[in-house]
Amino acid sequence: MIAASLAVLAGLLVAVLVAGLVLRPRGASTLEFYLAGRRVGVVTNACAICGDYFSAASFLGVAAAVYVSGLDGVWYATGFAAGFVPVLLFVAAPLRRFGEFSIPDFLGRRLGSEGVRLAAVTVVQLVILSYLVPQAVGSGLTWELLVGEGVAGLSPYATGVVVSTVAIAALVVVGGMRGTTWTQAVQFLLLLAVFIWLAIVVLGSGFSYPDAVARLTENPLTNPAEVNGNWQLEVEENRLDSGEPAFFGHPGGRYGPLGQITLVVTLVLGTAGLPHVMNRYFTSPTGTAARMTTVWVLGFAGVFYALAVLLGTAARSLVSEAVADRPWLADLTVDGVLRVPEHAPLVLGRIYGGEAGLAVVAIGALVAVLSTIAGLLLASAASWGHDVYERHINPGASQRQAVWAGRSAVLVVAALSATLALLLRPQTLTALFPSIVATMVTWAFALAGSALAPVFVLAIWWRRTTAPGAVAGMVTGALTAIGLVALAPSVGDRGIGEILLAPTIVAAPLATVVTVLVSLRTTPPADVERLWLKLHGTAADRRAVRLARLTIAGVDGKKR
Amino acid sequence: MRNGSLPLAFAVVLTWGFVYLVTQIFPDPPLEVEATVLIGVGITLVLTVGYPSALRGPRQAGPVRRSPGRQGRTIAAVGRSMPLRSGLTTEAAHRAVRLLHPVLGGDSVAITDREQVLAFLGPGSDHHTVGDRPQTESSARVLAKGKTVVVRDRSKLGCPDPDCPLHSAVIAPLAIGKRVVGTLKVYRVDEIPPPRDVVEGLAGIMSLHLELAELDHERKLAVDAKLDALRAQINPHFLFNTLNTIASKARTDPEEARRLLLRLSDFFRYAVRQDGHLVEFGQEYFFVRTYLSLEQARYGDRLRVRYDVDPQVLTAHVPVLTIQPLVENAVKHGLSDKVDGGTVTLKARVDPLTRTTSIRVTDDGIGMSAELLEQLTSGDGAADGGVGLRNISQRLQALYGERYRLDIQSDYGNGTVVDLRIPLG
Amino acid sequence: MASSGADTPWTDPDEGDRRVPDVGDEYDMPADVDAAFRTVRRVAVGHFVVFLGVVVAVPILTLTVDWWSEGRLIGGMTPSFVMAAVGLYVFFFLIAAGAATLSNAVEDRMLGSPEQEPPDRDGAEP
Repeated sequence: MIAASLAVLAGLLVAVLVAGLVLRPRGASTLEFYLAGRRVGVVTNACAICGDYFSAASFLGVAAAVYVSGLDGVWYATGFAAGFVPVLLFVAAPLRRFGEFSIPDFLGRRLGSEGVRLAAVTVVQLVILSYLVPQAVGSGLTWELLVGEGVAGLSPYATGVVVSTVAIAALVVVGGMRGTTWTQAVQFLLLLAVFIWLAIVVLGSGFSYPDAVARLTENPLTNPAEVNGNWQLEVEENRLDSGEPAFFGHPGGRYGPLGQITLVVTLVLGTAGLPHVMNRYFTSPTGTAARMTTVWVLGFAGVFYALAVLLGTAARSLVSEAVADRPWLADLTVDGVLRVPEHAPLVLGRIYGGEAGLAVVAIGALVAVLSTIAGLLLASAASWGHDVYERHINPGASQRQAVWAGRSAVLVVAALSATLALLLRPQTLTALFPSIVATMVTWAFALAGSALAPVFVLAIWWRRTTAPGAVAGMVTGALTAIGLVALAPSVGDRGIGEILLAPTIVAAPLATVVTVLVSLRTTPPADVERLWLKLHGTAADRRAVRLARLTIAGVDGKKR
Repeated sequence: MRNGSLPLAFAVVLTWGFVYLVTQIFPDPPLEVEATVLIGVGITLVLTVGYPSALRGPRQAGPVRRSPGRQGRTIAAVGRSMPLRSGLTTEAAHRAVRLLHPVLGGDSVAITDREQVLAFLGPGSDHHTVGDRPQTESSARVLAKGKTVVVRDRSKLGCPDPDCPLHSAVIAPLAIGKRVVGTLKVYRVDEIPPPRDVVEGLAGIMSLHLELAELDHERKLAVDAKLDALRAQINPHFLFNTLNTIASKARTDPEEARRLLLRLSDFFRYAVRQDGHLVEFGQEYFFVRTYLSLEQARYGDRLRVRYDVDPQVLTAHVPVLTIQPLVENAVKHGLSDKVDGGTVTLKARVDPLTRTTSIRVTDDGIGMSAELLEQLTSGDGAADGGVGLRNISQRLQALYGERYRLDIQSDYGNGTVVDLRIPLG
Repeated sequence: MASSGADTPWTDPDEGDRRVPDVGDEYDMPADVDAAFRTVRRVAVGHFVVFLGVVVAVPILTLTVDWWSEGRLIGGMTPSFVMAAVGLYVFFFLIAAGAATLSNAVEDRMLGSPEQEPPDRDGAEP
């Protein structure tokens, strides 16, 4: 079985690498490497954004959160999807119209300041790193369950982390953005196909979604916990109504009165500051297309997350029934409840599809991880290569040198995240944070939403924003977010702790206020009107559309 | 016609409070939540849908009614040769009265417009003379309500002359759409009033003819406006100034000069191409911005422009070539003589509840003296190079009847505000 | 770029032909961009308020209205579960589609020149 799974995995990785190689950019211009030459269809780009965005946190984490806490776990999915609404309303079109390479580039040119550029690079790198680590953790967990054996003396977990990081870093270094746009889109379709397949087999076996919710809600929610070295089921306390038990279909399983709101605010604002997602917008041909791309993303996200919630519910209901006649499940469960909730979709796959089913879901999980890592590494490369190397280290760099600077940055960042993932073995943390992958991703969102999103929105919609204001805002947001999250373990996760774990609701307004105050005391760039023409005008879009029409007309004319 | 959203919001809140009280507090046990929500949503829907029509007032019964009967054939014959096709004038009314007198079954027949008697034929013509105000109070009632009145009593007829031979009458309104423009009166010297359905039927036919006449007139006005606008823009003030600007830029900034020329061609193309009465606001807006960008090229920093446009207003229909003249007046009379220039603001809004489009053109220029304002509104403005406001208000009158408003406020020294409100279409 | 103007043929406006478009002719005036910016901002803020209202309403309904967490809709799911598991995604998609269409339409009409369609589009009766 192990051999078969390994073979499937190897085959998949080879396929991805080959796709990256075949589609790799011809000619080593930086624009090609980073942005696939800007002509990528709306739906393809939407798929690629989904591929970037749906990470292990979405593929395993959402179902896991629903598995652990029922209704309250659904809020992860809601927040992940909701994040694209503000992106569409406030960011997508102006970002595309003005931007060229990366978030730091956008902010630096909008505010006419290298200081802003470097501050943004720092924040972006931090966001990327805190997003990369949970992905690596997720791949480690998947490997552990799928293969269960290490290679070359490493533990299974470490093997998963290393193999996935190395493979995807290689892909990015060799393939660049075009390779990853197409593979990203294909990878997303693969994820969606896995979920649809799982949903179909689960529903086909007579599973009734509403009945399951009703039945699970009859008895209090229980989860395994380690007490004095023994695993046993503990009743979850209702966070809304202390002393009462929590129920699957009712709120209170995870959040107190504040928790849902702080989490959703964190996820909603965070999306607009995620570098790997925002960089995708630069590949849209026009600002209008960037908007429509977001609409498609929201459609895909809706389907994907609705399925994830369904699967989390199904796992809760079906795993406990399946334990009796499946001995392999006993090792993973305590009285019919999974110890590591992230295993939920994988176990479902094995119950319904046997070894092959497990392999399919595991491949889905790995693909989710890989595509997200690829996007993150590429965003990191873009900001190192373009914003730091070309601008500050070697201003006279040739295209070739810049590309190589980006490639080496990829390797460094990948190595760093793998190391961090190895140090943070999740079992030590699971007691405090159920569904560790989703929780860790929340931190990346908190950082992005606190430091980048407020400055971003202000720079786009407020003429008076100045460079010192933006730097002050980013620093305030980042420090507040990091500080509050660091405080969280000492406070616990109740009451005020709910804010500390998802600190955007405090940090983002603070960053906004600081940006506004400092901006009002300093002078804005002199040529705001010219920048405004580019940021909010559609002349470039119209030119692009006309050019496209002329080209099409020319092609048709030749055919005739 | 003011913004109606607030009262509606208030009414909705009140409704939900009421529904809550009636379903949750008073009954014991309280009603199911589903039922409550259903009732609340239902009432809210009725309120929201019914509210705009309530604001517009009750619908009047159309004054045009068919009147079948013995006289049907004769009436049809008369209808074909109705002389009112050229509008409600004294001459046309006179011919109409002569034509109609035999078929109406009365002794005297009169036609009035809102102000005066246009024609009178039959007994009583000695003191019911053409050019008088309609004297009877019953005609005032018809003009106000737009409904046929039958008078059987001499005293109710209300003729001030004690020797008047007329005893009874049927007075029917002549209406264009919903607007009453005059009356058809048929009198008899005895107590039996003339046949009401015949009078009404003929009044209906006459109304239709008047409506056709109005349409002709409207079309002519629109053509006038088009010519006016064109003439205005070809005059030296605008065209030569723009050409001069272009000529001076041709050397320093040829690309800019080329763009200005293209804009100028866009401007004329729009002015010439329009042949309907109504056009999407978005297109009029394009015309306004083309015009203002040409003026901006000429005035430079002295002319500042600010648009404030509701997203919904872009697809609303507005009368063609209406907004640009207002803006042109603001530039010409408000800002061109002000040394440090000023700002022209175009604000366009839609109130979906009262179904009103409101357009406001403001400038902070020198304002207008009372004489200039008078000159503009009385139609002499066209001679001054702008499209006279009177032309605009005539076209609005033709298109919307009483359902529009055009207000001008100007303080000498403080700028001008022109406020236009038309039904949303 | 400036020389490209010389070869653009001028056609009489009444002939019904438009001059051959030149890609370089597309440009925006600052006042126009400011107007479009303002209107798009109005669209964005309006939609965002609705979005925020609905998203925040769900937890608030949870805390205040019992029926929201106790009632039964489709085969035993509570309204809050239905909303969180499916309803909100549908809502997000709809509001996104609405906002994107409206913003694009606004920019289309407020910037650049309208497409030259046959003139029968003009002057439609209300």
